[in-house]
Amino acid sequence: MPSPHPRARAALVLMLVTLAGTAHAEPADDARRHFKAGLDAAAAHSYQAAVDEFLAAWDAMPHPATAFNIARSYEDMNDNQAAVLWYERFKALSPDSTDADDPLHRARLALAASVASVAPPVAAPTPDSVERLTALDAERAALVQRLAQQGLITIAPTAPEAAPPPAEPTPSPAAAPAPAPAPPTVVAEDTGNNRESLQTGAYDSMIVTASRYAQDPLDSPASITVLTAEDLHRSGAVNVMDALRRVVGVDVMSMSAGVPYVGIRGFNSEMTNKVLWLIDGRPSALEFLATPFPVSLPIGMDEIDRIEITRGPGSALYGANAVTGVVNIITRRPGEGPAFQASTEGGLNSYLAASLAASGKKGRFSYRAGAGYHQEGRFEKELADIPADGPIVPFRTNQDLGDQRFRADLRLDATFGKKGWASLSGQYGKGFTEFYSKAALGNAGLEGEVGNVRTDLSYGPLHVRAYWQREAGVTTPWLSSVGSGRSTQANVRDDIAELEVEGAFKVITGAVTHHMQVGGDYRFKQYRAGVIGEGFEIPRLEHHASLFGQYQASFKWLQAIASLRWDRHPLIKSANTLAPRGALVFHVTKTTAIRASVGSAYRAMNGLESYVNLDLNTTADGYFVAFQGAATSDDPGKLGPERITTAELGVRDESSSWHKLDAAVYWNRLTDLIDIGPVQQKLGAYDADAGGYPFGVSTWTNTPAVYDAVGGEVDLSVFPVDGLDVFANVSLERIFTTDGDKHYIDGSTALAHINAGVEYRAPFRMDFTVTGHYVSGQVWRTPSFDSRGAIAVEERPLPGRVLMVARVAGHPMRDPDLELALTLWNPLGFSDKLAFREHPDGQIVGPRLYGSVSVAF
Amino acid sequence: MRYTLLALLVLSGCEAFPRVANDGDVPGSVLSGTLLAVDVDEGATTVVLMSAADNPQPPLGNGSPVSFAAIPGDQYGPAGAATLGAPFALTDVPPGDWQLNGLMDVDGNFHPGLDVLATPSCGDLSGWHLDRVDGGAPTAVSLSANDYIHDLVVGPLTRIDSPDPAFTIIGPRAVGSGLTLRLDAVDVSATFADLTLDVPGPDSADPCHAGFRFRRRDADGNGSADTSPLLPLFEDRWPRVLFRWLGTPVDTEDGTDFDRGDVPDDVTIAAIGDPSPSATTLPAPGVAIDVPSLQVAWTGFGQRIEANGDSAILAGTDLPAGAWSITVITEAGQIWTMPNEAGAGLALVKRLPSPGRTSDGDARQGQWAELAP
Repeated sequence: MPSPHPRARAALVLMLVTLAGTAHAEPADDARRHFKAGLDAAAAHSYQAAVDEFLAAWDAMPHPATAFNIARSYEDMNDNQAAVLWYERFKALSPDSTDADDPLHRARLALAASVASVAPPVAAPTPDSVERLTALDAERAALVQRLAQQGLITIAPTAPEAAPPPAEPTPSPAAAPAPAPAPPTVVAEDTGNNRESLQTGAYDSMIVTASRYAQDPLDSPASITVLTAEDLHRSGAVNVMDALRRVVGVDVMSMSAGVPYVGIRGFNSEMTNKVLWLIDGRPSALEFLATPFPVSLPIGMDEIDRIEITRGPGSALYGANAVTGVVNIITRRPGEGPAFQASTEGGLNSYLAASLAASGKKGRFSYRAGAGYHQEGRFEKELADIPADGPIVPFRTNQDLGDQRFRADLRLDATFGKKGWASLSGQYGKGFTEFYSKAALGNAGLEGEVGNVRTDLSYGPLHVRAYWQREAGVTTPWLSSVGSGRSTQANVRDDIAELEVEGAFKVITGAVTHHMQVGGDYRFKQYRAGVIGEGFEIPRLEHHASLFGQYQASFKWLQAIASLRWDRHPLIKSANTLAPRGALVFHVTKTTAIRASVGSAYRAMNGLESYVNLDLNTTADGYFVAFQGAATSDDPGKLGPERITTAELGVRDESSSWHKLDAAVYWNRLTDLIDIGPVQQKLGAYDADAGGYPFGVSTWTNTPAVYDAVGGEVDLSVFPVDGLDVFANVSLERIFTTDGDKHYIDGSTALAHINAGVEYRAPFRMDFTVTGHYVSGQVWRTPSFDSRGAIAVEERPLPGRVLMVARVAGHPMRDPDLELALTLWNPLGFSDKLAFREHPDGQIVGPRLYGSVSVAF
Repeated sequence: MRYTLLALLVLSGCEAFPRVANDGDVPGSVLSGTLLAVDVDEGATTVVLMSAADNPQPPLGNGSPVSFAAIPGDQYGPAGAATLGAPFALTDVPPGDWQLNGLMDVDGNFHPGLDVLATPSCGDLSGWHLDRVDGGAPTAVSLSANDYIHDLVVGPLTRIDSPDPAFTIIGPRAVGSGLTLRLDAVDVSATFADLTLDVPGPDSADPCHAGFRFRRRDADGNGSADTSPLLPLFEDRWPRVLFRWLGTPVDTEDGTDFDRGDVPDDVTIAAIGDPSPSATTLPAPGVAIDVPSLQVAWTGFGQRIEANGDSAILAGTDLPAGAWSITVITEAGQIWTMPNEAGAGLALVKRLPSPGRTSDGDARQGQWAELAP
């Protein structure tokens, strides 16, 4: 970048100082509002106002399009110096773009012309200065001639010189030199009619999850919420799951500190098994449980660009387990964001976290690397102390720490041509965590590691992805007693390899735009599990394949979308894996859309349900029920997938620059829920390995109950003034259950979820965030085996509760960007009277109070 | 010029977290400690049985265990002179008062799921949690919500040398005022493997031969037999004999069923029997003798126990007519009941369907006493 003119340099410094003095603010909403105002002002030829608005947008969130528009507006004001500066800034941000080439050149010429038209200062001529001035004049004349020959300027005829007055006789000898001839008037070519239009589309949010390609949220056939990087940063959450608490229709249930479980639109369960989790579009969960644990999401919160959460069935595009929704974690692209970020957090109850991230770009290559550490104390422990060498054997000696993990990731991208890019990435996570289990003495522990390698190749409409993941670990009761519970200690080692090919095509026929997305994949899974000390059982191999497609036709204000996916699952009949979806989107205006959709989805059996044989406790330690995996049971083909059918009507409105509104009503019908089946009494002799007497056998079964969920959601965000964001959302849902001749309300899903929050970015470099999350009371029906091995269902009420979060942050430095913050998460957790559980068997949700320091540059 | 600034801000941990579960809703109490066994060379599978203090299992009472833990034999190690010890733990224990009994299954024939096997047998080791390890009396453990008691001692477990009271009814099965039943001991060998009762011949060399260890209790050693704590008109004698009402026998295609009328299945009507050795003079109070046969007299006193624990005394004609099972309980806690869940084997057995059925639908085997209307 050429060194700016001294006056421009001064302006730049002034600008930086000005920026440093304002609040640390990158919210896209403020930027978008100012950007649109700038476009409106420019359209009205109020260029100064346009500049002011674009500068405000730039201040809120720098964007190349904003830089371009600032330059363009300055140019319209004939402030070519500022225009050159901002065009050059645009080119620095978008070196591959040629949008600014012509206008930059034009502005430079105009600037040169305006400099040339300024008469040089008249000084007492000296022989040297005369010679220098003469040389400069000659150069200038040559330049003018050259530009005129290129047709870039025209030379206006100069006025004839006035005849000098008769000179008084002057003394000789040195005669005064003749005055320098007036320089020619240079007129830059007036290209106003051919000037480039202002750039639009900056700060427009695009989503990819609803249709597997980038689209405006107004075009989405599904309800969708986007959490930006700023939302995550200010949420006060220490893991991705907790960050979702503010999302409408989402229920987050912490049964222990390390693993919150996420449900969307009801059907809460002790495992997140009805929501599909993705990282950059590929499934990410512990395959063994088909549930995400934080250790299986080895990506730092500061490496996330955004999280897209769709609500409703997603199997039509993503296959199994996208029953009630999809959570897609989209990471920052290499080369984007700060070159270096470091943060550390520490606080109450052994909480400690550290994170490093680096990102850079050189030519066609870019990279992003990250590493992090996280540890957290348990919310609750069963016993105050456990004597060593006693009959209680703990999973870990330190009973206070409930979660500890390390992660690292690396991604390398390369572009080739204008249409192609390739990527190679890897992630690794290792650690242990406590998670809910129905062990005799409480929860279970998982210690393991997850690693994956992924490569993408994209050219034009085609995209190929190859992926491999291995997860390995040990799961065991958190506390074991001598003679019981040993059989639930297991080794697990699973491998998943996948190859996916996908193509997106667009065809326009007349007034109709056809958008087609087709693809297929092959996936290989190998499950291995075994009792600790006895090696692995025979590995279970699965070959999966899928074909999927989506067709969208857009005609004026109407879009029609049809999606279908078929999966080949070795344990499920093909007819049960077909997942269709149909939708219509009506664009009432450019900023308001109504959507209607119907679809179905399914949840396949996970590795545990399919293959693992467990010895489950009864209320008597000496009895156990031999629980068989479905595929290894006496009737292996009997268990089928869970199925959901859904219909939804929604509306999305962004008709002003200061609000977003989304509302939906829906009906879901869930059938064939997989649950513990009845016990077949089958007494057995004492089993020393299991530490007890077998009472009977059981396996997983599809329950006959039918669940009809009816609900509605309203989600409103307003950002009326710079620095202020307010959100509020409400979801209401009732699940009516029919089980034979019994009809009842499924009370495990709360009737109401209400979330609200305020974020204020003050001009004095302070940020304030306060959010509240209310969940109404529930009644859980929890089954367990009694001392005779029979299933006893107990109704257990849980009162309503509020979880609040408050965060304050200061930014004493702008460059580098330094932030100091203090977060208080769930303050009610400090009080024994006001603290609450989020599940009858869950631990009391504790408070988190921690400070953080982060720096980015 | 770029520079790195990295500072750590750590707030000191608070001793109050993590919480210890204490809200009482989750009965996460643990009873744990050590089993002590004497006069045994190596350990065997041991069950720790927990029964309610106000309704303990035999011989302390007539109740049943409500929970149990099973300890592998290899958990035993030296714990003193001629003593082996092993850790045990009972988890998920509700608040209350609990009696703890340890039973080392030396002969490997214990099984909690079958009535004929859910009993100690001759040769096993048995003991209780005592108020004093050295010769104390069984004492209950009191537990609040979310207690962790880790220093209990159950034992010493000592060898049971009294014969197993397996029996069959000889002669008339009628009971009532002035009537007695004759119970003859039979050697049986029942294991879980085949759920059958084998009847060894009379030349069986089993030192734990079948029989009844009879004793007229004289706890205070005054030479006079104690009176029964339940029936002051009768002596306190071992073994205990209990009758439980089955119902009115009804012949069906599958055999005999029992009609209980409007009496729910979870209501127990029990009556007390008064045993005497057959064809043998009564021993002196306090003296134990092994006899091959008992005569059991119908005392005419009993009790109706509701499912919620409420009870009422029944006497004479209050006791319903019909079929009654007979249970013999020894001083060491050995139990035998007729009819029972065992399979075919005894020559005098008659298969009986529900309520003489086992939980998996098989008919109970054996005989019953009959009380005329």
